Amino acid sequence: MDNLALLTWLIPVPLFVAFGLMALMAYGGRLPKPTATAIAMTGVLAALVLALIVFASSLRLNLNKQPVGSSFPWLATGDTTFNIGVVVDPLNLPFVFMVSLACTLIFLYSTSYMANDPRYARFMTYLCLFAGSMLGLVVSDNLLTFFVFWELMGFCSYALIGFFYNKPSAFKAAVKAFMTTRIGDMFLMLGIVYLWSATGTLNFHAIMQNEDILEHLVHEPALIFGGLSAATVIGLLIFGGTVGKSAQWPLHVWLPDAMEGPTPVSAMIHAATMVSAGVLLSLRIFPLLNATLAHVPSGMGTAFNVIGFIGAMTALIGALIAVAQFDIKRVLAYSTISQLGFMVAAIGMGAYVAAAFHLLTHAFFKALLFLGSGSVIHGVEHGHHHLAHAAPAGHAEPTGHVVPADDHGHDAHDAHGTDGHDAPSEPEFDAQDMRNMGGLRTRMPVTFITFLIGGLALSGFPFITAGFWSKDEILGAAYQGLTEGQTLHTVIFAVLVFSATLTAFYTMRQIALTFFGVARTEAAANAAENPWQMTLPLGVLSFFALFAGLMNIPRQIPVIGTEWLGNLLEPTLEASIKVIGHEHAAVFSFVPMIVSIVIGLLGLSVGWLIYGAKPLAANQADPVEKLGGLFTFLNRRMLWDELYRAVFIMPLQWIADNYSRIVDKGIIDGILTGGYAIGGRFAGLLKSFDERVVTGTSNKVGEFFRDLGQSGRELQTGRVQEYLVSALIAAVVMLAFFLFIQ
Amino acid sequence: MEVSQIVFLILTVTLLGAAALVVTTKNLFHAALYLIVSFFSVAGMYVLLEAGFFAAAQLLVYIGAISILFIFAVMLTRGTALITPLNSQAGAVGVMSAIMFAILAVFLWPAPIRLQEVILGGFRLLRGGTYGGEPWQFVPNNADTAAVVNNATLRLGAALGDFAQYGALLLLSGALLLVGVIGSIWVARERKIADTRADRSEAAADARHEAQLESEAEAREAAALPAGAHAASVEGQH
Amino acid sequence: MLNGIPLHWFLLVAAALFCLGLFGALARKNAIAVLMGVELMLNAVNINLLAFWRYVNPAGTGGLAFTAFVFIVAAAEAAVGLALIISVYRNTQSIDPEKLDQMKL
Repeated sequence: MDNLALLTWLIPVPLFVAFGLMALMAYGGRLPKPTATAIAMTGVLAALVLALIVFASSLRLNLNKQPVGSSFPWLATGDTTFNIGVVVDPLNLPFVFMVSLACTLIFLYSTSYMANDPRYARFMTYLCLFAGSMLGLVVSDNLLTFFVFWELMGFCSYALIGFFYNKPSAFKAAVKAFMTTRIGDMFLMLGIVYLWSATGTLNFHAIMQNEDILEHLVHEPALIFGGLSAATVIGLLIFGGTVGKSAQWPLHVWLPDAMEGPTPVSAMIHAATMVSAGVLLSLRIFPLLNATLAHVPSGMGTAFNVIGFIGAMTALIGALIAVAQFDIKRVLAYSTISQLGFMVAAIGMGAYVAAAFHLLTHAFFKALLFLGSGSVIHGVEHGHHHLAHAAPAGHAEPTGHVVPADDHGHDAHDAHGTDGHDAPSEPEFDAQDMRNMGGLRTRMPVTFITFLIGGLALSGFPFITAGFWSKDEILGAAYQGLTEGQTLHTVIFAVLVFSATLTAFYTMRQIALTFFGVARTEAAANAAENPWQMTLPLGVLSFFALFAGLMNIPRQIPVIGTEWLGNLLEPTLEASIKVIGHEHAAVFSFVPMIVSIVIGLLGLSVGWLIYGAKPLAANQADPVEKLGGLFTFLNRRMLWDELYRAVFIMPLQWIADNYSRIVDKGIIDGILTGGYAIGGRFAGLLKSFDERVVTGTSNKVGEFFRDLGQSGRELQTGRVQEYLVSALIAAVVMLAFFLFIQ
Repeated sequence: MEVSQIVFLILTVTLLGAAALVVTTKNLFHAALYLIVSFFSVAGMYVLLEAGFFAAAQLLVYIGAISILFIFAVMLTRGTALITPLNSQAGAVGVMSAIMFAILAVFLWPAPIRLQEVILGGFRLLRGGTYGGEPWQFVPNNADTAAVVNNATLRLGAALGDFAQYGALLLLSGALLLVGVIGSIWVARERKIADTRADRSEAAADARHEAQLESEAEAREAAALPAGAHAASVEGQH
Repeated sequence: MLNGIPLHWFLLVAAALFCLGLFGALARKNAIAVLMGVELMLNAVNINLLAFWRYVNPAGTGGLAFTAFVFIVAAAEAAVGLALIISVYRNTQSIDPEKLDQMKL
């Protein structure tokens, strides 16, 4: 194993070591905050250094032919052996860089953000495990270890979302996240098993770069849905995992609730790592999906149709709901769902490179936006507490919008919760509600600038933001298909255009509500900027939000058109293209670019006009509420949760309750009780038989002999005359006998 | 009816009557006397049987010694007043004895008698065989037998003295008598006061009486003395 | 002297006497009376023996010797028995054979 492969193996190791160390220390006794910080930061920095070394070294190599990595046999299963190992190949090279950098920045951010939480050390421990699992997943060369880390991340997300476990909403959200992704994981598992049984290996390279295997899978009919090929079914099953983990419709419901977790967690999970893992999975099996085109006379085939449809639906639903949200993090959550929909739609259109590109850029600017929102919340919280401490008796502060019954999380508030702060006599102040913000531009400048950059990137602000280029690539692929008359692409194009417009709109809405205008509450008026541990990551991420786009600018653009990512990734599809038989050349057109520019600017302008030009005053209703019923519908998240509850959960609950009551307690317990009764009765019978007959008989026998002895004993009276009578009788008898009969 | 027959009948009646009275009378002394009467009758029978020696021996031994013994015993065991002379099994015993006598009577009756014939004939019929055994041939009474009978005692004495015949047995019986005499003397000897229960109970009664007298005396004395001396005397008594 | 008395008369008388004595031995409440019954039985035996001697073989001495020994034994036995009775009377104040029942397991 060469040095580079060794280093690749080592990338996740520091984080696991950090996790193990902190877990042991926390278990043994108290783990002081400085120690936890030191260990965690050391771990993540070590991982970053290793990742950067591997990244830098691998750039020079021809990774498609010679991926960096090694594997060794791990599990012997009859004729075959499971190999596990690590690999740095064209697909995960950028991710190695992106994930390790994002994790490092988020760790740094957390050291300040969670500093006042009494369970800080535990948070850092979980964070280490999470980051380690993600890095392990990124460098995995086979589906098995990929899946292992996938599940580990699932657990970590559960632990971190439910970090404030005292709040019912938090632990419910954690369970919901886990359960929903579990559904996806079930499909993934089935896919893995099917793939293993069909090919005998789970190594990515061995399957995806091997045209014989791809050929075989494509031509073999599937075990179920016989009309489809095995490749289609496997691909869709594995895609199921993506639907769960990357919060695609219909399994998107867990992601907004996951906002219950602390903000760094949201950044990690919803930007850099977990949702990325879902899309990364689909990217990993893309050659397999691509190969299914071999059977398809026209259109994109079943697999791509399904994936594209789901992606488009998700993009649309996410964007629509985001428009009507008031919580700063909820907007970002639905934005994430929408953007993930973009990526999945790209995959569905066969735009492999576009999806990967958007995934990478999205990771940067979404992480930036989440961390920025955390910074905002933190600042407003401080403003609120500052006020509360300054004027303890009877605030004259307008309370602004208060927390509705059970809706918004309170992570920053809870972070301060245990420092002896007395319960406010007024209703709780929701620091995450954008209606309580405003005018933070002047109070928190760094946060403002970086958040603006992130928001522009998200909206696809032309040319200077990374988001523009990646989104444009996706729209380009869609447009190409539209020109070729592909229905799927046409539909996706329309949907994505609309969603992108909405994206720009709600992003500007968010920025305007938060930063522009006048502070609507005293808390916002007193908000303060955050320390460097929080603002530095914002800065770094905004750099990438601006310039990450340079990695894949189309060659048609002069000077910067390198298409570095495209050049890197396209060779990985060679095997699948051979299976298809013909290559599908990409046709470039400026039309989608123009469209992107138009819709981006349109959305931003409309948003500015409504929210920026006439900033909202305190207690003024949000204009979007004018949509009336539609607004309520969107604000209530299109009632998907209620639908699932009614369709799936209530019947299951009913079944479970009644099964428990009728079948389990009634029938089975009844049978058992009846059985016991019968058995008991039978045993009673046997017992009485035993007592009466068996014991009785033996007793009777004994008694008989006893009585016999007793009566025999009575013969011996000790009286001579009575003995003589016996003798006399005997004598008489013998006399008669011998005298007369003889 | 011959003379001997009449005598025999008289003797039988006496004998059986006296015997019956012996076994049924309540008064034990009367029973002893009736026993003597029966012995006399038996002696008479012996005379009829021309066994004069034994008649005399009967008188001497039984009447002269044994009966006296019985009377002594009766005298010495006074205080045994009986309400009934017979015990609880008397009825059964009476029946059994009667049956035994009946069997013997039937068996002993000489051959031709209709009752016997009937019974035996029945048995014969039952058994399908014949009655085994002949009636005894008894020696008729004539001069030869008289001679034999007359020197019977002599011959008895000779036989008893002759060790080849019954001499050893005689010696043995002598030893038996000796042992019996010694044993009965020993068993029936006078015992000390404490040895016999009767004497013992008497002695105990005497002792209690004496103790009671003593304690009464002590109490009278104690009443006349001061308290301290009374305690001392009480302790001393214990 | 024995003209006219058949043997069986003697035997019957002896049998009757024997049975009476038997009755007395078994059915009397006083031990001395029991011994009296025993004496009667022994006398009956003697009558039997002598009758058979006189009627069957007067020339022999066996019958006579037997009778003699019966005499002797009867006398000894009467003496010993009565001595025992006296001793028992002294110890237990009772000579009821039914009360003397300790000789048993």
